[in-house]
Amino acid sequence: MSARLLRSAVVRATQQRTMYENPYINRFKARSKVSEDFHKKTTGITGLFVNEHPHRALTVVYGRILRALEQMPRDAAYRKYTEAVVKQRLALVQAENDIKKLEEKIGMGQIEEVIEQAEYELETTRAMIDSKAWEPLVETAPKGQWSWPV
Amino acid sequence: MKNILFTLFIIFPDFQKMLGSVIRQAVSRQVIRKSPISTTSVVAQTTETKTDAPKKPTIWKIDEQKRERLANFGKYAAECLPKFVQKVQFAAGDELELLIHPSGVVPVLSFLKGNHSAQFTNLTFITGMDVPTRKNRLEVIYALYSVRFNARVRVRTYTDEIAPIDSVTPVFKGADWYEREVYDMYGVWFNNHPDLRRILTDYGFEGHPFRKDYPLSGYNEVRYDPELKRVVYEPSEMAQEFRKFDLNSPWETFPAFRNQSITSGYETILETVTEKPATPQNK
Repeated sequence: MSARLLRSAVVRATQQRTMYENPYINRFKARSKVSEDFHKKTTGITGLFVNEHPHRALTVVYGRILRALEQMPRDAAYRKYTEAVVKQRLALVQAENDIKKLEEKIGMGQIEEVIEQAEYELETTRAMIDSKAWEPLVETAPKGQWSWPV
Repeated sequence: MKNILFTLFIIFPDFQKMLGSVIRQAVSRQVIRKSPISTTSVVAQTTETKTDAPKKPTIWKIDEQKRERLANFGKYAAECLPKFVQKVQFAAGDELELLIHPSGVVPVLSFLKGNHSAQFTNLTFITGMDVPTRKNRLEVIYALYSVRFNARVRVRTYTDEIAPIDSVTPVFKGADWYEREVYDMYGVWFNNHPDLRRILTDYGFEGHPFRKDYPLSGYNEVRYDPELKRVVYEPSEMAQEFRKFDLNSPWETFPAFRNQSITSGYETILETVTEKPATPQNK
């Protein structure tokens, strides 16, 4: 019994796939499906898939950024600037329901790109909190470090 | 002239034929050069180039507005990252450089990649530099490109032979091989790198070839040994006459720039200074 199971497992692991059964393509095909009545079929950018509910995604990510920013001191420059940008974007997202008009108002390309930017910003915020980047300079460079010619 | 031609005729009986073919080739080359590049478009054939404007030298023109914006961005980045940015400067007129403390590599690059007003999502390269006279002799340089804003920035940091630097592979996946290259060539150790080993040199290679104290001829030489029927490594031996290098050129290279300093290419925008808190150590 176990020998048969083992053999079938070996067969499954070693059998040759045709190029049409590429698991990566299958996965991307599934992700790149867009419903019929949506205004675009693709973003035209490799690896960036159409998001049919950008409002929900953006509200979630912006909320996360704002919550993460609260861990920084209030007078940190990064917190001030980022909060201003994110709050402005969030207000636009909440005010405008039409996706195309929202894209125009934000002016940063397609809404999927805006979502990607927001995700990167969230990662940045976390890195800044981890490293406590608002503190004063750790150490000045040794004398002559940045002078050229030496 | 006549004599020369005559002797040529004597030496090469086919000289006339050769001369003819050379002339024919030159003529056909002329014809090709004069014909328009595009053979399909009518416009290209009919409009002859009549612009005889004096040819200007092709030099890089600095866009003042873009430079201004970059300088502003440099100040903004230094304000957001007061803990790590030591100096912001322009190199060669309009290339922005952030000079940072080695402990801040990951947050600084993460900021440059992720911040809404930076978006330097493309890591162009990572490289190293060796200046043996400095206290921290090795420098690591990261070049980034922002596709969104069509801007470039360089981040420079320093280390010595022992002190490790944090790897930026969590931020930029593409940094993997660049860091291996810097490790191989300069011997900078990167912490948290997924697979830090040599990339360009051979297995079992010793030393870091781009360091200034690495000899030009290396330590080992490789040859195929027909008796052993394999490639063998041997310590390189040089004949005495090849040991002397006279690398100085007898000519002056740039006489027009004799009185100019190389540093004129650098222009400081901002320098972070710290008044150290009064601790018992530095009182």
